[in-house]
Amino acid sequence: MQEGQEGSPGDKTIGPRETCARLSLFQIFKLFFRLGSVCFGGMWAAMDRLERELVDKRKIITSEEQKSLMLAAAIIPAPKFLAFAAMVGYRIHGFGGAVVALISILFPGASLVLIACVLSTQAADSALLNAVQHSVGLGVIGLLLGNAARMFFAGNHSISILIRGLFITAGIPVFVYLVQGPLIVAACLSLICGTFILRVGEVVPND
Amino acid sequence: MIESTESLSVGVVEVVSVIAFSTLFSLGGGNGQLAIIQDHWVAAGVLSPALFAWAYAIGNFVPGPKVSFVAGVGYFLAGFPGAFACLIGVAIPTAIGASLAAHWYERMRGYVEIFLPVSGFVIAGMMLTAGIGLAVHVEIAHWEVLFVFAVAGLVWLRRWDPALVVGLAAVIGSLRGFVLDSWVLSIF
Repeated sequence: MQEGQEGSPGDKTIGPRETCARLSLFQIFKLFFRLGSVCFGGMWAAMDRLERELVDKRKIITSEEQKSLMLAAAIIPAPKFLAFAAMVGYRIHGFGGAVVALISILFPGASLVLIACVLSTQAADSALLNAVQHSVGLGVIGLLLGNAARMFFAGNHSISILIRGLFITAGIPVFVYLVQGPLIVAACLSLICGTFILRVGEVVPND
Repeated sequence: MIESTESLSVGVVEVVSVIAFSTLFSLGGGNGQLAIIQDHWVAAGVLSPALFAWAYAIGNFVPGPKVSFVAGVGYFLAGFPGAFACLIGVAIPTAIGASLAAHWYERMRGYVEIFLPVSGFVIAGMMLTAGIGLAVHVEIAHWEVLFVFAVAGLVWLRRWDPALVVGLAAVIGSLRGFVLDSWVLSIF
């Protein structure tokens, strides 16, 4: 969207509008294919590159809208970078634009993953590859545990919240490995019960 | 060593449904998707932990969204149709969710924010479960436990990027494969 063409103050959408730069589906494909080929490290790492391409060069969205869409991408249940691409595509060309944007941004990386997996399958008997896979497997386990700790401590919660959070977090592996329950059930139960557990004792400010 | 699995017995409909469902657990930037895949196929013995970790590792080295690793998971599960099915599985909920969010962002934000405070703890629990699930399927030597905890500490406290972790692990694996294996084993 161009400067000075914002929606009305009461407008609660950031969906497609007449004022948004109009690109054809093929142009959307080219744009996001290119972004999918050159952006490494996920959505936040690619922020500058996205701003250069979408805000400065093509003026599809404003800088504020980019931040707003990135925030929205982080809070909806979908991979962030894909969701961001789909939301920008939706702004440009509606649902078709969203589908084209997410397919084209996913295509380069997915193709490379596929090629690497096919090649590694053909060398499956290699002792060197087995040693590398074993080490990478250990690295991924460490990565998962480290990310779990990072997610747990993200948000600078108080000690009281962290203690309650510990029950929510630890409850999932306990339910899965000790009770032998399905992970999905554990996650859904934790989400619902956890919401109530965190609200217990929450101080409501008096106006 | 890591056990190997040569199973291509998963149907594409199952792949699409599980991946589509797992995509819903990417809320808040956490990769709860890994936990669902680990629980459904790795813990069930359909996909070997080595191949799962390998696909995820490669996904961290390629450009674009890191979720592209699902193409590798799909390929290991059901060949090329499986890879395609995984991409469809990721695309369907994302396209619908992102379009709805783009259209009604302000209205939806209130509902999503109800679950946001707890989502970090839930995703942490899912990732912990996935890590434990992978670890119990891999034969880990005593000194390798130290390596795992060192990686976890660096990721948590020093915010090491997954690509760095995976790259370093691959280098260590290569060195171990070439040179260090007999030397380290003779010490421990």
